[in-house]
Amino acid sequence: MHEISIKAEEIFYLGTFAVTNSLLLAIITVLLFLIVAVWMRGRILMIPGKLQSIFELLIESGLDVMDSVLGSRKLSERHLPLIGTIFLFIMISNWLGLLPIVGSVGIETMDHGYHTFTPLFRAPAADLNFTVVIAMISVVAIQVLGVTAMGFFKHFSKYFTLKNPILTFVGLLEFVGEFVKIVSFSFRLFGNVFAGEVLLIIIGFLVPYILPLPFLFLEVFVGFIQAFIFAMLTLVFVAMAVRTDAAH
Amino acid sequence: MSDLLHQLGIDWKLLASQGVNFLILLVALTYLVWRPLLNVMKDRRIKIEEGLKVTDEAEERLRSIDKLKEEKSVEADREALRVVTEAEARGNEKKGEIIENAEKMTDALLKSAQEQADRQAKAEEDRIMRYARELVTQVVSKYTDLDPSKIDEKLVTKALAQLKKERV
Repeated sequence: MHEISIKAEEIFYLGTFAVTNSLLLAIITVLLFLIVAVWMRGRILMIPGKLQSIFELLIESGLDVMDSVLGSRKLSERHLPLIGTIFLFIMISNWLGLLPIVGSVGIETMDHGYHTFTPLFRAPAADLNFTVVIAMISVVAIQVLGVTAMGFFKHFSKYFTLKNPILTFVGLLEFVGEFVKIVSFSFRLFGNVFAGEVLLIIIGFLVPYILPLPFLFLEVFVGFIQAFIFAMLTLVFVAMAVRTDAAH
Repeated sequence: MSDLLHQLGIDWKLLASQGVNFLILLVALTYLVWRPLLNVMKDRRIKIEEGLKVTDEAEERLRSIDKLKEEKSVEADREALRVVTEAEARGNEKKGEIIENAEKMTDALLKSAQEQADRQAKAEEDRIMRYARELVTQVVSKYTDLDPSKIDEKLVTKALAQLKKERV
């Protein structure tokens, strides 16, 4: 069993920049997405094939869920790229993190007389850099979309107001809450995926055959549900930011 | 704080690279997948809506055409009836005229035939009378031994007139 580390392990260096195993898998995930996207681009037709029909069915289902939160198909279609990309990226990277090559394929080195095993890949969400940056992008996007929908002053007036002391205090709390969102988003996702990875390592170490299977299925579900929670929370906060009636 | 971040493995370079990674994916998926798919779905929805609208319009037009056809049919029936009635009336009128003309022509023909018959009868009568006169003259000359030229013309005429009268 290799050493469990909260930090993503460094694999190689590009100059002074250390490429970690989670960054490597994130880059591979993005490349896989790009290949599929480019392949799909030329095959999007007015009369859909089987694969396009499945994609459209999934998108329609996603849009229906978004409609229930945003209350309008037009808004759902406008925000689908952000929400959909967050959901797909997190879910697929979580699932790729469950592949047998992740955690088992790595580099073995000798360090002060000890064998050290560094896995080549690591689930991107099991690295705080990944979860924090997506949470930051999500929170920044919420603010940008809020400003676009309602205007700069109206949007930020909910954080900074002098109407009465209570509203001023609540506004400041909400402003601090925006930063807390980053922490909440990132640590929830990181905690779940990292815990899942640790659980699989320990179960795999204790009982290597058959027993890890239910836990693998559980992690497949966790990978989906965590991506869904992250996307849904972003969606709800976007809805609160862009809908004037829900803003206060 | 920086020690905590270090312990958690948070590094600004890794944050930036993960951020760039995600933004590349967001932009690529937006322009390669989400927008084209949404546009195609939207176009298809518009086409279906237009198709349904056109179908409704076509059905409406078909209904109005059927109604118009029915109206035209009724109008045509009415017109046909009017034409037939008018033709019948004109036919009857023409028939009357033709019958009248025919009657007139028949009368004229009959009259002409009668006249011709009368003329022929008169001519025949005259011929018979001449023959009779000749016969009477010969008979008288035979039984009286008179020269036929000397027989009284007046007497023969009177006899013939008497004969004619008796015959009638």
